[in-house]
Amino acid sequence: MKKEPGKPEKKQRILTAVFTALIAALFLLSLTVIVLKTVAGRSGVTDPADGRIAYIYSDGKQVMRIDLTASEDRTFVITGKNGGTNMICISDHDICVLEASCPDRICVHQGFSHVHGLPIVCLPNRLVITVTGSATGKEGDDYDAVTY
Amino acid sequence: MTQSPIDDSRKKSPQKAFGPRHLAMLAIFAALSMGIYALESMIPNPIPIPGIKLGLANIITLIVLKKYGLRDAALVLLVRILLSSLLFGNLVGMLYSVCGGALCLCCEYVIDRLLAGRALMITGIFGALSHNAGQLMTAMLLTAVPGVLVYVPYLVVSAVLTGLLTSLAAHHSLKLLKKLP
Repeated sequence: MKKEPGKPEKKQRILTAVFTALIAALFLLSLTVIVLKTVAGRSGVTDPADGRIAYIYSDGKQVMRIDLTASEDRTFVITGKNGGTNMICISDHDICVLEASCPDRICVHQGFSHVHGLPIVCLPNRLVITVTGSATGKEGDDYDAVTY
Repeated sequence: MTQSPIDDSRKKSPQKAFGPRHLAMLAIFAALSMGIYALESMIPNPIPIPGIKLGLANIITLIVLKKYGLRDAALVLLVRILLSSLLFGNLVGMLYSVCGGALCLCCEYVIDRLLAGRALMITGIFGALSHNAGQLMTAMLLTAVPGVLVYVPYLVVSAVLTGLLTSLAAHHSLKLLKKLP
């Protein structure tokens, strides 16, 4: 990326080049994956009420499986590891975290899963919500979408 | 006791004991990194993806690593993580910080040695990458949901960008801090 002035030894020059190439390759690969996923997600989003199932994991165990198609609007609280709480909201066949006890509250900011198609994660409380179905499941399951 | 730390700017085998000056410098850097950390946590995160952040405190880690060596950088890092976790009530997140930070520091040290102190940007980017890798591995272990792997590409992209940013900042700070003991 950057060669300092002066004469780096050959070995270091090679290493620098190799590392730079590695970073560039990783970066481009990831960018491609993101773009592909976004495009696939866009075209895959048809109807939020279209056969989507939410799985809620707390502290590594699946605690809930919700058929979003059939679900009615409701909110409930999941108490996770260390007593951390996440208030989960199901609304209009979609799922989001309304309130959380964690400091960064990223899970809350992530909003409805339908919008981004990514799992909702609250790391401090060890809560993961994955949604399978037409929006995220375009390339198969959430898990299978990661192939590299 | 009075090691001449002036020409000590690189490649020092660290002093055995902490001289008062040295200790004071490390304390300043630890305080600085905590301040930066606090400042960063006040910036609202525009990208709500778990694990993505600027990692500005890494600037300090890089500076201390380059100026004082691995042991001191590890100390500053540990102090920062411990104190900020206690102060900002993020005790649950401490495990993520420790795993990410430790892996980051080790990776930065190895890469820096391999490159003989050149091309700090590469070191910084690898540090950011390994930090995210460490955090993601912790997340995998703690949540045991392989679905979080979906985030890998997002984390890689953000790590390259933020790593570049922080290492550039560290690079220029180091130039200014050359005279510092």
